[in-house]
Amino acid sequence: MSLYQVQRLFFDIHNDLDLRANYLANPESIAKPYDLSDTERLAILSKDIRSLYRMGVNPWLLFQFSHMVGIRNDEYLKQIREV
Amino acid sequence: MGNIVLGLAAPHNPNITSRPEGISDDDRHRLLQGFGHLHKCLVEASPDCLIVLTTDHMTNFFYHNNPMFCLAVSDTCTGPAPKEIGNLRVPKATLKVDTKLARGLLHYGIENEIDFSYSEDFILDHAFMVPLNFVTPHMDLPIVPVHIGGMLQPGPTARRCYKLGQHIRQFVNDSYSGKVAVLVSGSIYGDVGGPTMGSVDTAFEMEFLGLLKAGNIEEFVRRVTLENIKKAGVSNELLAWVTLQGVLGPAIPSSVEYIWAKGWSSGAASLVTWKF
Repeated sequence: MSLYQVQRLFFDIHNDLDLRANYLANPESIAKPYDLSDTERLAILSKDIRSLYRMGVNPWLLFQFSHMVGIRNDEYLKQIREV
Repeated sequence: MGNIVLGLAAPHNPNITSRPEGISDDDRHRLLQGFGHLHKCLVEASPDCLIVLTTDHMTNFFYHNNPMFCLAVSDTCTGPAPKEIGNLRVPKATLKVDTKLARGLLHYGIENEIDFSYSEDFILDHAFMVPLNFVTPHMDLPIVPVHIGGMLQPGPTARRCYKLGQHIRQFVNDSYSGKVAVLVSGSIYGDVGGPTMGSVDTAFEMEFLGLLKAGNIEEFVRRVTLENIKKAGVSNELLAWVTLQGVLGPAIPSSVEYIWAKGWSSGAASLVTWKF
């Protein structure tokens, strides 16, 4: 389990637009090389913002991820406020 | 030898350029007026270069390599970052870096116990490009980009940032010949991605702006504790403001404009000038 690996995935798709497009088309495939626990991988692939926030993902970065995967601001806030 | 001739503070909320229609006409008008005033002051001061103090927004730096402070020392820097150029609505620009100041400051820091990181390949993200778009719209004033670590924790202390600012001032005075303006880009309070996103702790901002208006810099720096850094929100741009105070020395602002546009998800806009 590695918070760094979770955040590294988010950082990479945040900055690399081609990787981002590939991630959005096939998230499992792009997430595969990252050293993630089953719990982390599930949270990422299911867009479980609540769990990712609870894990300690940097909130600014988590917000960028939520935008990338199409989560509205109000839903994002609802999920992190529930933690 | 050299002189600090002007201090500026401006916001860098990407919505300012990407979604200006997202705020009321009145707020937008005030904001443009505020930026216009900063631009006017910069033109009047006619500096040889502009030091820009802000925090990189996970463009150049991340947990794999995260400096507390970093100077851009290449001949030029380009922005906005590829990740934002499609949305930011700030044209791509390549700005000259005042390498005499940047590299001189680097060496001065090494000799005086400020271990700057330095970069020959520094990308200017929206934290730089949004205010530069307004205060130097032709992008023709040489800049010195300075990253003040804030977004990733742990970051530097306020005491360290203030000392860094003092070193910058000392270097300009002792070893640079020319006029220097300094801009801090960012908000005192900003919680992008945090639970209070979309609202602003105006009391918190007024507390710190009040100390600036009174010229009570010692108290301003003293209050930037770990607790208050946390309270200031996720974006943590307060440390860049502290650094500016070290550069400017004891001074009272010439003008302060505070705008909180409710259409924004992040921070209020504080536009401040210090003329010397």
